[in-house]
Amino acid sequence: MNKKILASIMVIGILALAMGYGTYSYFSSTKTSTGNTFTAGTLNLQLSNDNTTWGNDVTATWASPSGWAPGDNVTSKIYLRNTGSVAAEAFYAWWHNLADPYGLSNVIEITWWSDSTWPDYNCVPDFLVYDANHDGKLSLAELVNGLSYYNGLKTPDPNQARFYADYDESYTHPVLQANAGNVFWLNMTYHFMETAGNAYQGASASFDLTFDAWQHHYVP
Amino acid sequence: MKHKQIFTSAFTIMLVLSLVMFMANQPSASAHAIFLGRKGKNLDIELSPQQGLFDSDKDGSFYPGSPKITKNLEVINVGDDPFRICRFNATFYGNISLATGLQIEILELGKGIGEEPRLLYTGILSSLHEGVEVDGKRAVPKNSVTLQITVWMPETAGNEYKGLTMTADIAVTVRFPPAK
Repeated sequence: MNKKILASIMVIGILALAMGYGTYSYFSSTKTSTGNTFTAGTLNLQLSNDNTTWGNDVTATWASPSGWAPGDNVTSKIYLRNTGSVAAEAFYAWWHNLADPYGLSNVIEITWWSDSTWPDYNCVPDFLVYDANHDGKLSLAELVNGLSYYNGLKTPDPNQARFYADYDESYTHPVLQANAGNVFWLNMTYHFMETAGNAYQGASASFDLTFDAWQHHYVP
Repeated sequence: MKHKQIFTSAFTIMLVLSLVMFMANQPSASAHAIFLGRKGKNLDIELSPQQGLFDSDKDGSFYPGSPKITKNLEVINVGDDPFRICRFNATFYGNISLATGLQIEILELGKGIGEEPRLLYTGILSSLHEGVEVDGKRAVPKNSVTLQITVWMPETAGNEYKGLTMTADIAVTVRFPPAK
């Protein structure tokens, strides 16, 4: 009988200790700082063919008219702006996705290339590094297929860029200021070489020009 | 009769054990006399400011490598007991994935000359969702602790965070400081 009572006391004691241990804690107090807002900025490149209608993409910036013949030109500007809240210190451009079943791009020459930082300066001679056949002319095919001026690679990233800009027309601000603070444009003339023969009658070709705006300068 | 004595003994043991455990939950004798029941406001804090410490409308937005934003949060001891800051946790609303792209550093500033700031936490902001245990300094009643909270977006953050916005409620928990 005494054993049972002793066992009961031990059980009660152990339970009491367990309860005491389970409720053992320090007093605490919690308060909350509410309504803290964090927002990440944006960098949003937009394109336009006419500096009026803007979008993420444009089509047919350079489109030949019907009856385009050797000796004719197509000249157009493409406009860029940044509607984001973060300025772009640089943008890159590369020509790619050439669809040219007739080889027409070999007889289309870029004869004028300027931008808003120096509107009257034709920078085509600066891009003759892509003149693969060394004829003193920059053809569309050479522009698309040439290796990067910077590192000799041909990949769809800034390393492949044919064109790089890092200042606006004032040379004091980033090339694409935030909140559409400026508009940058490229002006190019595509010339149908006079030497093109009848083999190109009815031929067509197309290419894509992609721009990539970056918050910071990229040094290939 | 014998059973009654045994029952009395068991009851006494339980009573003593309960009293011992209750006393163990009380502040140390050096801070308070031991008594059954507490007086005053006990352990209590207030934050200043209570809301809107970080305000993106005023502070601007984050972008990779953007300037760090630093704010001070006062933790005021309005109770009768000293405390130590022991835990931070946060609840996020909105584009909560932004919390994975932001870093936070929480310093407990020193007082007076020569007292160095104490780093309580540094790491990814989203970790506060789970809560982080910290070990703050002892703050006595009628005094305050200044937390210097810095938030930034590292240069490695990518486009996935572009344009995101979120709200965070940041909770500070203090406890009665254990003897050290």
